[in-house]
Amino acid sequence: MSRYLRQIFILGTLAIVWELLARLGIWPQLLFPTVTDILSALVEELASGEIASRTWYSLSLIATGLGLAIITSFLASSLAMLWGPWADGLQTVMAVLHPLPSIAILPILLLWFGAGAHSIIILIAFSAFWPLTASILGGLCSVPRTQIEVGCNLGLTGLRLVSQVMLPAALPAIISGLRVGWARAWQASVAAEMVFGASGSEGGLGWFLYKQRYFLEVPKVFAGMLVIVFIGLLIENILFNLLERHTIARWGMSIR
Amino acid sequence: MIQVEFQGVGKTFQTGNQEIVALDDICLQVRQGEFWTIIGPSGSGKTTLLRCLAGFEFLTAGKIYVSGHQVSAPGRDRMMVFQDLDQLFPWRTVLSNVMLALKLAQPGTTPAERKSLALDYLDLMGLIEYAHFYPYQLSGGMKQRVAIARALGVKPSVLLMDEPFGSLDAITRSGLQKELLRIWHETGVTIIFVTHNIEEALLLADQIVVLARGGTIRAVVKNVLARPRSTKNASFTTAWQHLHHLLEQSGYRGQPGTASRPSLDPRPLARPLGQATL
Repeated sequence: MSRYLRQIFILGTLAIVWELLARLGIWPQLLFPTVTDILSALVEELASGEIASRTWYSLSLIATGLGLAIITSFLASSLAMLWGPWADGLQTVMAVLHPLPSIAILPILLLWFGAGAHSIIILIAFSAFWPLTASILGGLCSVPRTQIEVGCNLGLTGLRLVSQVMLPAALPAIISGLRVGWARAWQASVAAEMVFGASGSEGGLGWFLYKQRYFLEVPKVFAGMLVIVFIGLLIENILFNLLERHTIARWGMSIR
Repeated sequence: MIQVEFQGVGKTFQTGNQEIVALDDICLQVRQGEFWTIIGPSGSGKTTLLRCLAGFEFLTAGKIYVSGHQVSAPGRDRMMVFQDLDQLFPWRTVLSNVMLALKLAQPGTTPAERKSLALDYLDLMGLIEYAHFYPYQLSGGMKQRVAIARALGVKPSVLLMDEPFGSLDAITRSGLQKELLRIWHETGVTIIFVTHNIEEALLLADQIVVLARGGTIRAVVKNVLARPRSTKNASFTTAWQHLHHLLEQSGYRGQPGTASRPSLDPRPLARPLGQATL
């Protein structure tokens, strides 16, 4: 608990320093708003419900894209354990595409799928797929040989060996892959909307930031960023920590 | 009844352009219910011999039969207990590790039946209070007991043990040796046990295979020391010295093994141990 208190203390100090800097008037307040301005903008947006619906929209796109990435990544990695040529192919394609910043494929996606939810979902899936696959494959390849042999000895083969022995044994790597995948998906969803805006009345947090910048509502831009940070922390500290506590930490498999 | 038969088994490993002979013309016949140990200097192919029998390695020469069937892949009729302390599935409790084995061996049973059967095997190994522990919460000796319980759960015809007590302290090791003998008597399972410890081989086995560098059989020694055995007997000491002498000749302590002599008779010293004094 004292760790949280310390973190709150540090963040509080930073907020006070920020507030003082803004009030000194070295920079125009229009571009460098005070913390109080930012917070009141946040309250205002929360009250109007816009930021909530934008967040919900972003999260629904991420859920779809990340879900797609998780399913395909598990299938691709499991198949790599069963069939050598597929593993070679996957490794090669990954070596080429993993270093590519995912936003770089957005122009092509816009041409192929148009400026809408489809492009964003595919971009999110693409961003999350490679780090996720790299982690899952790495985890599967470092499963202790003894455990695999025990599985074979007990009569597990093929997909059952993968699902009963290899995937659970690789869970620490899989969870860290999910963490990276989630972060990449979140980045991709915001970045995509800032490139082409939104179609119709729909749009997520990226579109919110883009729009508020356009109207020079700087406190609202910061308010949007705060929401993005808050959700990131929420998922990291609640979802992933719970997942770890109920699985690898409970089984003594935690890396940390 | 002959349960395990090695017919001229050979195994060579390819490393780069070098060929390493791990096993060379191994011939053995193990009867049902016997306890065999395999002993030899490191690099003499003890583990390879066991892994070939388990079906984890393909043979480069010869054949292995278990209960009349040729070995071609791993199978539940030959359960291996490894030296590694990470052979249990860490995401399953002790009970769940054993239950998985039972589920695979007896797919027709209900979970309740499997649970009660698994508890019986844990009871056999003195683990009943630890049923709901995860492997990381157990000591090394406990983990090996669970591995033995899990292996016994599938009712193998042969239990293969690759230095299972090698990572344990002397007291735990000695306790588990006694327990293994008790279980062997209770279940009547055939056991093939690899060790590099002369004392362990003598305490446990009916028959001791001495392997030499180069993967040949230096000797097969019948161990006729009366059970229960004690290291304090004079006959035990005599037998120990005899085995020690054989091992020294087999290339122990890094000496080049005499085993590379191709004319070596596989069983030149197959005389009973300890007979004179018993």
